[in-house]
Order: sequence, then C-alpha cells, then structure tokens
Amino acid sequence: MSATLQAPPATTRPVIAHVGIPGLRLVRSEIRKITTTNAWWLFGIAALVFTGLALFINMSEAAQHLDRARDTTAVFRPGRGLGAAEIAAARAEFAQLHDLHLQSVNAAGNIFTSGQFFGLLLVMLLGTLVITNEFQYQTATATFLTTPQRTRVVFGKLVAVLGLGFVFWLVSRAVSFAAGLIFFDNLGLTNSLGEWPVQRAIIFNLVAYLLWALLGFGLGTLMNSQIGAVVTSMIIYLGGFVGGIGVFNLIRNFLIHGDWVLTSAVVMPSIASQVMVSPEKMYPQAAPWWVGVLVLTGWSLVAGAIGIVINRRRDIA
Amino acid sequence: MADDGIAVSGLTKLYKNVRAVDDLSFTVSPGRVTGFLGPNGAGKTTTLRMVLNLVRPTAGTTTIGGRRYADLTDPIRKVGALLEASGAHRGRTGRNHLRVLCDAAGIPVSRADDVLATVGLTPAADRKFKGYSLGMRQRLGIAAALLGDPDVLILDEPANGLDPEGIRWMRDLLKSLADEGRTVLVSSHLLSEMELLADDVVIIAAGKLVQQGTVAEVIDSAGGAQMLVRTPRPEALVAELGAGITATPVEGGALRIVGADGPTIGAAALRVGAEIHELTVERRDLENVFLQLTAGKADIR
Repeated sequence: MSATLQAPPATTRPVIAHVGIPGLRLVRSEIRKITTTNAWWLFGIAALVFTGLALFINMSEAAQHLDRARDTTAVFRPGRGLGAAEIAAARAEFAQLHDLHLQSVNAAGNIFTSGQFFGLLLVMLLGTLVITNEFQYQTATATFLTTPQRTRVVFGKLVAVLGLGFVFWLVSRAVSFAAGLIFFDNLGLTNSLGEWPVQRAIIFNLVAYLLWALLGFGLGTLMNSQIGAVVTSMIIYLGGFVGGIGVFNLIRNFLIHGDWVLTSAVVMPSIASQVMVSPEKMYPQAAPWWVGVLVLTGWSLVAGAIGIVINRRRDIA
Repeated sequence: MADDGIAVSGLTKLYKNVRAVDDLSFTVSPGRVTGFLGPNGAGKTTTLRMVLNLVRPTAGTTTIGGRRYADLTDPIRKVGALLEASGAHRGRTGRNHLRVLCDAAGIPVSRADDVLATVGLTPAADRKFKGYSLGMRQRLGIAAALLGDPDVLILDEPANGLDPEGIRWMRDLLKSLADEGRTVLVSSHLLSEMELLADDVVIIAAGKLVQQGTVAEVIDSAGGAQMLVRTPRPEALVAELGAGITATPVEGGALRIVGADGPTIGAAALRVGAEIHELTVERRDLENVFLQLTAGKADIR
C-alpha cells in the first residue's frame, strides 16, 4: 500500500459524543451488520424468485380449480357399483369442487401466502447466520470487546432477526398481494380478503416467518459452527417436511399402537409449523394450531437459552 | 487504583492439563509503553484476552483503572484493543466494519472516518476486507482500537504484517499515545523493536512471570555490564583482577570481562603495568537478556 502515513494524532484529544438510545444501539449495530454484507439481498432475491415461482404454480392451479367450480354444465355422475356411503362421499366432494365460494377462499389462501415454503427456510438460515457469522469471521472478538455483556448482544441480535423475518414476510406478501389482486380482478372474482380463513392464513404466515427466524437464531446460538448450524437447520426444516409424519406413522403401526403417537408428531418443528398454518386439521389426530405455536417457540427458547449459557462462559480465542 | 494502570494478580488459566498462565502478577503504568514479552506459547495472548474479558480465568483477577473490563461502561471509550485472531467480515468494507462498532458503542459514525485517516486507510475505506493486505488488516485493527479515544491501549503483536515504514509509524504512534498519559501495553516477540519502543517490560515464560521493570533494570538484572579489553598481557590482567570476574577471549585477541567495571580494570592494569589498547563498555541488549532469562522455558508445552 502506498498511502501516505499521517503524523500521530495531535495532543488535543477529540470530544466524542454519546449517540443512540442505549437499548437500541445494539439492535442498530446488528442491523448494520446485516445490511453491509451481501447475504441480505442474495437471500432477498432468492425469496422473491421463490415467491414468484410459487405464485405462478398456485395461480395456475387456482385458475383450473376456479374454472371447474364455475362450470355450471357439470353434472354429478357417480361411478357404477359404488355403495351408498361411497356415493355420498363422492357427491360431497363434487359439491366442494363446484362450490365457487369455497374454491375462491382456498385459492386466495394459497396465493396470498405464496412462497412460504422457501421463505421460511431462508429466514431460518438468515437467523442462523446472524450469530454464526461472528465466529466464522472472527468478529466475535470486536463485538464482545465493545459489549462485554454477551447476553445483551444476543438480545440485540434477536430483535434484529425478528425485524428481518418481518421484512421478508412483508415484501413477499406485498408481491403476492399485487399478483393476487390482479389475478382475482382478471377472473372477475372477489379476492376473499374479507374472509377469516384467508386472513388467518396471512396472519399465521407472519407468525411462521417470525418463529422460524427465531428457531434458526436459537440453533445458531447453540451451535457456533456455521456449517454445523446451517446443515442442522436444513435437516430440521426439509427433513421434517419430507420424513416427519412417516416416522411417526411407522411407530404408530409397529411399536406403539395409540393415536397420541400421531398427535405427538407436533414436536417436530416442521410439523408444528404445518399444524399451525393449516386452517383445518392436517390429519385427524393432529394437535390444535396453538400447540404448533408453543412447540416452535419452545424449541427456539430451549436452544437459545442453552446457547446463551454456553456463550457467557465461552472463551473467545 | 484510581489511575488508568492495568493490574494483573494471581492470574491462572488451565486448559485441560496445560497451565497456559500460572499465577501471573504484574502491573502496567500509565504514561509509559510497556512491552509484554515471552516466547511463543508463553501465554501472552491468553493473558491479554483474560484482561479483556474474552477468556475466563481459572483463578486470579485483572483490573484496568481498578475495574474489571466487564464492569466498564462503554469499554471501548476506556480501553482500545488489537488482538490476533480477530477480524472483520470478508464482504464488509473497512468503513462499515468500524461503523458497526460505533453503533454498538454509541459513538458517532463519523468517528470511523477520523480513525481511518489516523491509520492511513482512507483510500481503502470502501474496499472490502477480503481485499486487504495483512498490513492493511492490522491498520484496520488499530483504527478499531482508537475508535473510542481510549486511555488504555492493549495491543497484541501490532507490528505483524507491517512493512518497515509501518513499523516505524506504529512506534511513533504508540510513543505519542503514551506521552499523552495513556497506558500502552504491547505484546511482541520483536525484541529489537521493543528495545526502541518500550519504557518498561514484562517478560513471561511458560505462563509465569520472569522479570518486570524498566528496560534498563531488566538488562542490568541479568548480570552487570560487560567490558571488552584489549591488552598485550591478558593473563597478568586477569590474575590481578582476581576470582570475582569471568573473562572469556573473543575474536581479535580481546577479552570479555564480566564482574568488573571500567575503573577497576583500569586500576588493575596500572598496578601490573599492562598496556590497555581498548576498554569499552559492551551494553547487553534486550534480546541477549531475554534469551538468557527464558532459556529452557520456551519449549512447546
């Protein structure tokens, strides 16, 4: 480097003002950490792309369903050789498929929460990175020198992570709102935003964004190894969706024959999440939605609390 | 202690079965540059990290101006530190790295530009950390240490990666900071550099204190001055000086004498009638003394 070297500072010492609100200084610092690297916009673009894809899929599907529901020429024709009960069931299904109001509400619920699957994974990973980055890039030293009260650092990050989850939710929802309103307007249908099931889906979509960000953050606090925490997060998220209920079905069928086994599948974070966002029961034995909220919060708190205790004692070297 | 000195008392750190730091006590005075010396693995970095509340001591206490680091309000306004194994996010610019710290400490972000100018990094302020050379990273670390205009500076191997010009700049900077009445504690194994820079030294080896004092005191403590004598009759001179000295021949026919000063040797030579062709005080340097004091204690543990 060929920069000219300046003389040592003059003996008049600078007066350095105290700025910022004490409680919020750390939050502000954490937000600056997030916004001064590439991660946030890379994740943001990924979230937008996945939201766009999901919107496309959800809207094509909804268009078909709504088309079918509006088809007034369709007539219920039961297949031959069916029992009375089967005919009744088929009739009920036919009625549902051709219930325009029901189909509109379902379509609205899907479209207005588009991109949830990957959106949740992304905010979870961001939550993990917010804390593991400190150890990955050895910035923990500077951070803890500036604020030796490590628990306060963790809470500053916590607030920043929840803010991040909220912003991701807000942007994804803004995009899906715009797309959804155009979609329903084009079809000449109501957007169903006044319906409680749709409102509920949007509200719990926000709750899910916040809770998954929190869970990722809790895991990051617990496991300071970045690669370890990221891999664990992905296994918990994706593995839970793919294999979660299957494992509990196997236990129910071969080990413990009780419906409570299936109900208890809610302890898996991804099943808890689905239980929470589903307007109706996912499966007959599913736990109520609020159990899902408690389970997700509980895991985050347990991981975060153990992580805080470890961090307080940890040697930063 | 009401001033800004550093006091380390009975400090011990046990890692599994290694005593990285072993009942270490020393003090560092304000207004002076104190060199913290020791062979690799002596426990220097561990000690500094314990002073800064980054590593938990197994036993003992450390205070800065009479208070533990963790009890300081806005510690970076009181203590500036540069440590090894501390960095910045690869993808963050130097300026933003400093601004993040400003936010957390309640310091106006404009201060980041001030310290960047002080360390000569202004041209690279908006470059990402991954593009910084070792010397630039070191300067950024020093900039971070200066952010809060602290009364106490604790620097671990600050000369690492600096070019000769940078080392000289660092020396001038630290000296001027000490002249302003600040406490400056610098660890290093560049002994010749330390001899130029430090007023006091603390030498540790194998986690234990070996010697503490001013540079001159420490050098003297390792035995008196050495005299170099050139004479055509060395045997007669040595015999006259008696048993209290050690004399070793050096290249060129001279003698190195330890245990007698110039006047004593001159008088002895006069008594036996030996000509003196040369009589010089050979000042021992810090490196010499350091190696003698830490001999056999620098093994890998």
